[in-house]
Amino acid sequence: MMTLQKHAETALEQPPIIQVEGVYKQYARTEYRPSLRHEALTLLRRFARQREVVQPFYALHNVSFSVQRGETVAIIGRNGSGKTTLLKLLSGIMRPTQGSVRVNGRYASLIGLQAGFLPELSGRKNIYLNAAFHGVPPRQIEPFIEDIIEFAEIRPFIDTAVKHYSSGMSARLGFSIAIHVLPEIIFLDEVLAVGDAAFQQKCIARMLALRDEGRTILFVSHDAGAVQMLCQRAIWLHKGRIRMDGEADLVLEEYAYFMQHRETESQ
Amino acid sequence: MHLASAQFLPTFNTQRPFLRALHYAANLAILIGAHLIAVQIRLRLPWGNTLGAEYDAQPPLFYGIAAAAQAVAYLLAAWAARTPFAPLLTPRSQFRVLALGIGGTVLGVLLLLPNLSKLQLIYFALAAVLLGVCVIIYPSRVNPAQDGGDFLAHLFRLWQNRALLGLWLRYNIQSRYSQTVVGIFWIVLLPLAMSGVLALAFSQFLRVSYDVPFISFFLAGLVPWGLFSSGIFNGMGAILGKMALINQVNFPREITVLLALGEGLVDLCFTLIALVIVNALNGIFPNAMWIYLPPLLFILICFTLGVMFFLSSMSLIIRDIPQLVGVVMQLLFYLTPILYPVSAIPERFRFIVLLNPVGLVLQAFRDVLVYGRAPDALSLYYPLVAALALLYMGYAYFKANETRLADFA
Repeated sequence: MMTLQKHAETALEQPPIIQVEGVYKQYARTEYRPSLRHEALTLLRRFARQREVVQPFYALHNVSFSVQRGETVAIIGRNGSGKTTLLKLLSGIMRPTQGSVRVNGRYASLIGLQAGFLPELSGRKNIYLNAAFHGVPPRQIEPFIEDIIEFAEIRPFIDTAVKHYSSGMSARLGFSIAIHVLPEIIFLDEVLAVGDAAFQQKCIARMLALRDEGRTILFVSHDAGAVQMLCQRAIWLHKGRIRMDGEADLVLEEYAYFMQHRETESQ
Repeated sequence: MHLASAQFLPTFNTQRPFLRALHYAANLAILIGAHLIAVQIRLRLPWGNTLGAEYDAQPPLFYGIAAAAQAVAYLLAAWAARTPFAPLLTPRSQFRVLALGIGGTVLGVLLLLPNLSKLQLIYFALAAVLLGVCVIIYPSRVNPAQDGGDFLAHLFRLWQNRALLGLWLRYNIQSRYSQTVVGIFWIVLLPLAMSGVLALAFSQFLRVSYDVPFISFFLAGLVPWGLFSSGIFNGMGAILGKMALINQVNFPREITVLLALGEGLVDLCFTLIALVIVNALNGIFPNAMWIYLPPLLFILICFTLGVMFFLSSMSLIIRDIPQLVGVVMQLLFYLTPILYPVSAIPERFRFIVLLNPVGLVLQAFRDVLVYGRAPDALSLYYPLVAALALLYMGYAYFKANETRLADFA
């Protein structure tokens, strides 16, 4: 009780570490392949003052939320509900079509199973490179190299090219690097889904430790058990909108009910 | 501004006085650049009456006049901002202040330097306006949020990521050259074989006369051209080939372009070795004039990078660019004096070569590498200014499109 109160007080004092306000992300150009012919036509249309007629598709639609320092937030939702797009916006890979995204701290993100590895290079080289992508120069990552390899459990393959890795192996390595560069904020995209049960347990234990150190974690997951263990809070995205944002147990319950209901309905 | 993309920066605050000073420096640089271009065009191109040897094209006073005119222009703008003229002129409207500065410089020169060629003054004004359009108006159109401070913040972020660039470049070069000795072998051998074939064709069949062994003559042009063309071609694939990465991690995207350039530079080192060997066989040895190579290389690198910045993001947005560029580069190869000396071109077409910045730089390379003489400094003014302006424009375009890149994957 005491700690909770303390938490609430500090939360009131500090500005949110992540603030997302009225974010829209539109994908329109994915429907056709841009070509010179297309560019020329658009140019002509622009001269003729005609509007481009493309059906806009909103991957995110008026999404707003904020996250306090030290919170662990799960993002749940069905496939194609905009979870990965949200993480990409947060980690600066994309820019929102409208609205603003503020991330006030050093972050590491793990998006996609390849985790930003160069397939031709060995695992060891990719550790240095990936750390540099997260803003940590080789000198500073050097002391952690052994820990990273140990945690990812890939010592026999560390000097093999990453292209020969299984998806579980590269996800493990990616996760291991992301947590060892000691970021204030971690964005994780369904990494738990690829590892086996033993590794999942290890990940969850490590993420709990990170949470207790006061780091902020945002992760996408389909694993209700992991979400319950790690998070006080969950955000449910549905078709690009926030359907529910609140205490993890409640959101999970609603989500499970919704999924079940949908299935019976479709049958 | 998208804050998530600039997170690793300690916030780069551009205070207003600092920004003003930056704008003043930029405008003065534009005036000086325009002056240099005007000098080169007036003296090196066959337009206008020929000037005597005693004609002083670059009186030191000119720079003083330009600096003073630009300062007066800013004072005038600062005054106008507090009068009803404010919508027309404030220190913020950098291009208008530049225009005032150009006018002031022209007036000052007419009054104080009556001996300066009037034609040169016209060239100066035209070049200054053109440079202003390229360096001030174009970047602000491409990215309305951009100002000088933004540019510095980009450079600062790049500087913070220098470890990434160094590491990545090292790994790329290692994986390219480590497995195969033959790889290096080919890089050295290919230009040699090509110049051997062409040497045969040109010296035996075409009977164009060269004052030095053709193969040395040709290689001295081909080696720097190789840097330019490999930069262009690798630059187009710089973003396209790394889409998976761009979709998954956030880093300054210009690193991919710099990487492509870096590989070109490493290749250049090897072809330079080939050149030295061939030259030595023909009795031409490296001499003291080689100290001119770094500045020449600098001009060529700036120019190449400028084009690369444009092409790398363009070829993603418009997929037909690579095919088009292939044709254009072929044309440019023959328009540039690589295979032939400038003297072989008819007098009335010579200006085409004299206005081609790459050609001018290649000429200078040849002067150093083959003839062992200092390059003609006057003919490098225009390439230098054009290269820097192009680099700035290209970088502005690239950074403006940077965050759109992931959308095109």
